[in-house]
Amino acid sequence: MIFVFKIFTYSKSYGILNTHFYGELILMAEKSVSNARLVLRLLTSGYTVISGIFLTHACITMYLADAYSRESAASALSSCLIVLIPAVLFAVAGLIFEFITDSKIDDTPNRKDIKSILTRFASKKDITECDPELTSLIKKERKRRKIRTVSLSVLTAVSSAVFLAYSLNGNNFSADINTSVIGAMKLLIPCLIITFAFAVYTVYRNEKSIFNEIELLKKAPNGEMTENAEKCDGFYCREIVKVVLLIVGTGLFIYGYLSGGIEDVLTKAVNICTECIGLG
Amino acid sequence: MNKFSEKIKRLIPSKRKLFQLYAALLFNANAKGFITGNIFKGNSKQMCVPGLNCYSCPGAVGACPLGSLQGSFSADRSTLFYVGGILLLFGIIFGRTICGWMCPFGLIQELLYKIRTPKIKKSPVTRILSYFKYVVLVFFVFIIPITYAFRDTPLPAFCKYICPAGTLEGGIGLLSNEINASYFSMLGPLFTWKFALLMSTVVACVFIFRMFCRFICPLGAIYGFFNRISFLGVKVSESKCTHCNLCVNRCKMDIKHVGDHECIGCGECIGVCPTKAISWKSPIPFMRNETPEKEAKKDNKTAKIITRSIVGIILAAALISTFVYAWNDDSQSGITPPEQSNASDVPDGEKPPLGNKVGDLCYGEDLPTVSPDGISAEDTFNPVKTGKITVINFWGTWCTPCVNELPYFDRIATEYKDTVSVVAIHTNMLSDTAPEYVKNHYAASDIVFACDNSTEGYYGLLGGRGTYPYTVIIDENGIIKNIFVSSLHYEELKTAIEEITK
Repeated sequence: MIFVFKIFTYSKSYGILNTHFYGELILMAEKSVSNARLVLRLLTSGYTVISGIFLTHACITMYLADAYSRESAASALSSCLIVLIPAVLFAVAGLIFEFITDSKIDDTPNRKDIKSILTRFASKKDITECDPELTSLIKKERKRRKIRTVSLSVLTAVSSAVFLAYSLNGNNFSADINTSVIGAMKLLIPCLIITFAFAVYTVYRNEKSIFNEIELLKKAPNGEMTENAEKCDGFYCREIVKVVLLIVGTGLFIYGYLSGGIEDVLTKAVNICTECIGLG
Repeated sequence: MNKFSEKIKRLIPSKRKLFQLYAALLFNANAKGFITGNIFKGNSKQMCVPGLNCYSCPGAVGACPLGSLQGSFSADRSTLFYVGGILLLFGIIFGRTICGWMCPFGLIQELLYKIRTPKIKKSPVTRILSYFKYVVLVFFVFIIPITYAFRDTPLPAFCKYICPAGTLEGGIGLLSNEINASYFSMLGPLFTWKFALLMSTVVACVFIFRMFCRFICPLGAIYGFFNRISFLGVKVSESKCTHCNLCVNRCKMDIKHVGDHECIGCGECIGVCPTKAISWKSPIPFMRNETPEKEAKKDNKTAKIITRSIVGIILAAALISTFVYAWNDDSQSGITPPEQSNASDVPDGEKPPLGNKVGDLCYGEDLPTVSPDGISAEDTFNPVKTGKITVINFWGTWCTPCVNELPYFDRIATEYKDTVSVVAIHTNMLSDTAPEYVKNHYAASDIVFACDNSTEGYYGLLGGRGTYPYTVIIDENGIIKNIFVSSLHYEELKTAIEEITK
């Protein structure tokens, strides 16, 4: 199919076969290639996810059976081959297919930044010269966005404060490290979920609000574009900070090196602390 | 023909990909480690590599900056200055271009992303998720290690509970060698959790560009603070920028502006800008713009070829010499058992076999004891001549599970005082930290604390291969009855001892 498609496209580009009939065939071929690409990508995705699940399941099974050994690991891996091999084959097939059909890995564009669109749009409009009702609607949208953003900041600050207060209380961390960390996670995860959920809500509501504002601004008259006053870009401040930090870093490094700080780094690096690499 | 040659050109890796591969090979130049199953023990591990590369990887020739940072909280202040200085230097010189050009784990993620599947593009949600790495940084890299450092317990929490690079490079890297088959006995819930996390990361990286870098990596979070002021990276010329945002739209990271804390300095935006406003920063401080003379020099092809050739030769020489250095380094085996006058004919590969008499393996050298007053070379102890059941535990103050299991050994030493002798032999490395630790925690303990010799001889003779903690149980006749390569609980110790006393 791909070969036929190639023949037709080359023929078309050289004007050899330039009839309506062959044009239709080319379109059909293009659609088939596109469908084939989609199917191959979906199969690769599916097998990738299933492989991950199979391997994790095998590991959990070995743990629950208290049967970790080289032999059981080899046996688990061989039983996962039934999904691993197709996953690898589809991945390779996908790469070859897309090489032949000239497609790129990311053929859809990223989302555009709505805020920057609003900023550029708003700079061309003069809301002071428009209808008072329109102005109040625009200001209302801006106020709502500000309230949501401030609420999110407050929620983030409160969550952080709660969690930091918990973490800085040494009584919450006992000699049983795993239990202490799990206990801390029981507080951290809900805080994160709540903050994340509100952040997502805020972002999407604000986006909707920005779209509304753009629609409202379209009704506003054009204003004179004011040139932004030349801002101090802080170039020399940044360069000074760079050099100072470089000197401080070098100083710390040399002091730490000469004071014997390297011994501890070397000890940890040349000995295997098994739990530190998850062997436990 | 043109199309075909374009296709072939697409197959050639980009400069950045080649540099990433080079960095991965350079930081993991210990090829011998993959054959012997041992980690590298040479002096180059005093230095941290810039990217995330587990120092327990058999190939690693440098230390991990994140692991070293977490470890420095429970060590001497000089270690904190040393590691802090390294991180500051890396940050201020490179910023997050380390992530884009030098991180081996970043390379793995980018290669996984190349698998052709539908992709999850960046969105406001991913932008919010990108702040999660600061939570990981604050909690797992700072709060937990510092909290436990005050308890004299070193705890690299990020390495232990999260780092997938450690699981992949260190854990699986070691387990995959059949010489380390005994390590399987120590696997438990922690490994299961980390393996599940590794699989999730690997699968997610297929669909999401650099998922770990964007959402989890605390090292990227640290370097991100320096991005705007680093010597290397990308910059935008405000005079040429039209704010069309093509660069931001093209970028797969969650940037708001080119060069902000999310930018990994890959340089893909440079070719996209229609007004050529984006360029590489000048590494020379206080140089704002390139002078016309310098711009003209850049176009000189001969100079380019010569410069590139020289740089290529230097880089290749560095890589080859690192490989050769690592291959020839004798500290590879780390633990070199001294010659024995009464060694029996136990083949090397089988030492120490269970059931063998320890006297056949260990010489009669006495070890210096460790007390709250210090390490005494006069007051010595011989762990293999106690005449009782002897539990020999090899430990270190720098090792979290070692420190955590000592209370169980202390309890056994007290409960079985008459029949069992418990000896805790500290590694020779950092042995000067042992007296104070013993003074603070085990001043009145029945455990006999000793210190291994300069080549970690006892540890090597009793089969230790670099993992800690390591416990050997010997019966009254000096025969090795049990070997444990993982940390032990009280019940496990008790069961092992009672089986011997039956």
